[in-house]
Amino acid sequence: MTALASTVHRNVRGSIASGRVNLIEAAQYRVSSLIWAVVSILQAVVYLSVWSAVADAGGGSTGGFTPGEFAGYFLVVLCLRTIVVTPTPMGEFATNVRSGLLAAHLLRPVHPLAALSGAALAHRIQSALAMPAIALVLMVAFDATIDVRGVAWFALLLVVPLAILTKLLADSLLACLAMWLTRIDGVRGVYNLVIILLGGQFAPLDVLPDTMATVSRALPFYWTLGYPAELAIGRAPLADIWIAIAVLGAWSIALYTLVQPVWRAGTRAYEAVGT
Amino acid sequence: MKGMHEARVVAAHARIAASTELAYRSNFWAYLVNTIVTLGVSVASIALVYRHTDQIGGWSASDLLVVVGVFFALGAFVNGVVHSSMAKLVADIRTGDFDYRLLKPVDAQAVAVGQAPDPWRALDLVVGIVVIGFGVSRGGLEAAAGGIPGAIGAALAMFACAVVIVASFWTLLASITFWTVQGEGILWALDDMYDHLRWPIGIFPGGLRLALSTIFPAGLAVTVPAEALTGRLDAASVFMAVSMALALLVASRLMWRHAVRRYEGASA
Repeated sequence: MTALASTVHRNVRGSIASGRVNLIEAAQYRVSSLIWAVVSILQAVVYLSVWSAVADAGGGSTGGFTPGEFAGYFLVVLCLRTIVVTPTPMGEFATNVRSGLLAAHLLRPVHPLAALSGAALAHRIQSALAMPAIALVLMVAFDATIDVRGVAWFALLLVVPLAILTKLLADSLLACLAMWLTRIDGVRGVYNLVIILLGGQFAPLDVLPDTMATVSRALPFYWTLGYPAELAIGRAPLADIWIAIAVLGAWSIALYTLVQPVWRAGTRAYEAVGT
Repeated sequence: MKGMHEARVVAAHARIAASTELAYRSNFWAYLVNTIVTLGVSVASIALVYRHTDQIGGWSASDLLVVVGVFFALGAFVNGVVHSSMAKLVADIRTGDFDYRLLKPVDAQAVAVGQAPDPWRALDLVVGIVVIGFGVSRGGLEAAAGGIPGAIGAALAMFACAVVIVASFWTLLASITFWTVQGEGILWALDDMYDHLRWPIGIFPGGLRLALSTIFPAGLAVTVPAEALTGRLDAASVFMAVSMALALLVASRLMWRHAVRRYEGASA
């Protein structure tokens, strides 16, 4: 137990240090951050426009959402996605595997995936800083409706950190596949699509068919993004917060437990080809 | 003659890069699964939306399938040629290997755009054509002016414009790497943006429609071939597509020349 606590402590400190370095580095590449922000905005605006058009065509509401409520939902998703979903450590880890750079990173006292997770988080923080202002402008532009409940927003403080942890652990597990496959672009593509469709980025759970909604609730992705967004706009019951915490906590423990043997097997399979 | 020389060199680079990619055979299965899931998600998205309505902005579910087909077919070029080639370009700029490219007696921009194709992405082209065929068979092509040959001819012409638009636009933004050194983030962001363009721009509000035609013209690039195949293509769309293709081609060339003059080399 002490060894586990010591490992977690060392990796948390390492990822924080990596995050700080990357935050400074990211500040130098402001164009990339700006383009990422535009991407996030585009996704939210595309989906909210599609669903608003559907609501208009359906007589003013779809699945109980009016165009204004769709706008509110997707703008909260926009803010949460920036801090919970992207960027991920997967792309850079796969590049490091392919180039052989991972060999050098294995010699460091910090777990390579913990360091990359810290770096990804730093980029997210930088992108997220501008999001409230952007979302506010878009709220006015799209006449968004949000039922603000102070308690619900306070509850988000409990869910969001757990959501970030769960998502980073899922990213790390899939990143490990690079040690066998070398290239994981295809895997990443599938993973992103599953998250978009079942995690609440494409649509709120209420407009999905029952089967899809059930699958979404069983996987962690709805709880990492869809539920917090619905909670923030006043659509999800506050009582479900305990379900969210339990589901995310259980998935975090399961993913962390799974990453350990997969990582060990992966490092044995890794051949450090280099360039 | 000079153009032929460039084409031969680009083809040689492409052959070498394709051979390298073909060595990663497990990637084929990953791409196959990826393509099937992407198609499944695209069709599921349309089905989910059309559960609640019969049409959006005048586009039926069958018409949307044609848009998805064009998205896949153009995506084969975006992901299979442009993205992979630009990824190599930005890596070469960062490491300084671009120095060697400049020393060679061939147009560096021509090589940069087509130097590293990923042959597995041809899957997307096949899937795109099948989906277009399926969407069109459910209605649309007969309604086009000039009948079926006219619609196919117009769609191919618009697809050519779309290819020029995306290749030029990606080059334009990848050229920023000459200043920022770090360009991978820009490419991933562009890829991510393209992923959300499975909808015709006509269904969006005016401001977003304009943005997806000019600021990020990949929206226009996906829509115009689909418009040709569903009988919606009008003179304004043709003018917009052709002028954007020409404008971006010129802009990317000017930007490239300016950027290369700025390049200081980072090797050694």
